[in-house]
Amino acid sequence: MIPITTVSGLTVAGLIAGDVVVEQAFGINGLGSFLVQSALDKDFASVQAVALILVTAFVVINVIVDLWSLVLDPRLRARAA
Amino acid sequence: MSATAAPVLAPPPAAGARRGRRRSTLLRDPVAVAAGLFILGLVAVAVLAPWIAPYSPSAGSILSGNEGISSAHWLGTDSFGRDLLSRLIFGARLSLLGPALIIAISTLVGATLAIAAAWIGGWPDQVVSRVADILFAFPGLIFAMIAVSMFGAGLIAPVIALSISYTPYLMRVVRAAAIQQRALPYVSACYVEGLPAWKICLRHLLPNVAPILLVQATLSFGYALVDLAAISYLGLGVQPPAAEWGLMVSEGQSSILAGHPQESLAAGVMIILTVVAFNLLGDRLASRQGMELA
Repeated sequence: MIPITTVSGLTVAGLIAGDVVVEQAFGINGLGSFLVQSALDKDFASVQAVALILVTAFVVINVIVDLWSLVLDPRLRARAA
Repeated sequence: MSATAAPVLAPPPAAGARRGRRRSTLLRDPVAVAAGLFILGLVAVAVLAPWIAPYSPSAGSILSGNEGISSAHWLGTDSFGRDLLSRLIFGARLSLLGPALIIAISTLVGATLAIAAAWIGGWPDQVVSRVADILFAFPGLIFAMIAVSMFGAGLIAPVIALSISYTPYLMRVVRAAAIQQRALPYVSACYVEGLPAWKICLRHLLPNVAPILLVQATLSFGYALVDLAAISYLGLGVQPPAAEWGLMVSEGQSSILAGHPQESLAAGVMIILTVVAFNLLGDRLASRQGMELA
């Protein structure tokens, strides 16, 4: 259970990258297509901002996942305390 | 010095015999042989493209656009009437060159940093490892887009960005292996021999971590190819009218709804086959090293 939880958190990185491609492929207006458009327009500030948001999301999700594994496994809690 | 050092530094015969057995079992593994032959064939096609391709990759008449499979055009034509087989063959050049550059750069940088970090240890090792951890948080694709927005679309910017984001993956694996090797007696023996540190690392430590490096590089090649194809699909990589598989998928996209899926389909199938071949080969190489893949 613990390895699955950890890997599912790390998978989010791939999902973020995949989301960019999917939004472009199906013409969905979202952060991903905005990121692509900004990159094509050389709008560095927008790219920076969107990248910051996506990377922050990744970090936050992984922190939550790490904390969640503490909830799942009492042995980890005992070791942390 | 070399005359006296030779018997000590020569690899033990047992290791040589074991390596010979390994090589022969790899050649007896049909999946590994098929994947390897497919990759070799692709490289040959890419190198020999101008002699193999039946047509020019850029010449075509718009009047003969979106043709189906025929004896003149084995895979049909794209919306501009260009021969798809020729474009696939020429596309192999850019589609393989990009990942090859990425793997070459990230292997060189990653292995150098990893072995140096494992050798020196202490705070330089900590710094290198923490920087690698930070780089792990960035998906390669996002990193490449940042690079493109700074330096403009093309082959160079995404290749450099992806090289940087692939370096930590190679580094992590090599560092772990190098730390293991460093504790082995042969390193101490070399040290006692009075060999300089760089020589021990380059001539003795590196060959011993090379198989693991090869596995990681082979697997990463497949991922790098997908990432680069995604970047050119998004229009951030190589620009038209260049022939490149990722670009061909996006160029063929508008014809799919009109009932002509051949361009996207052909390029997509080539991407998938190539990545599967690299992954299978990497997987077989890994299992021969007794490596556990995540």
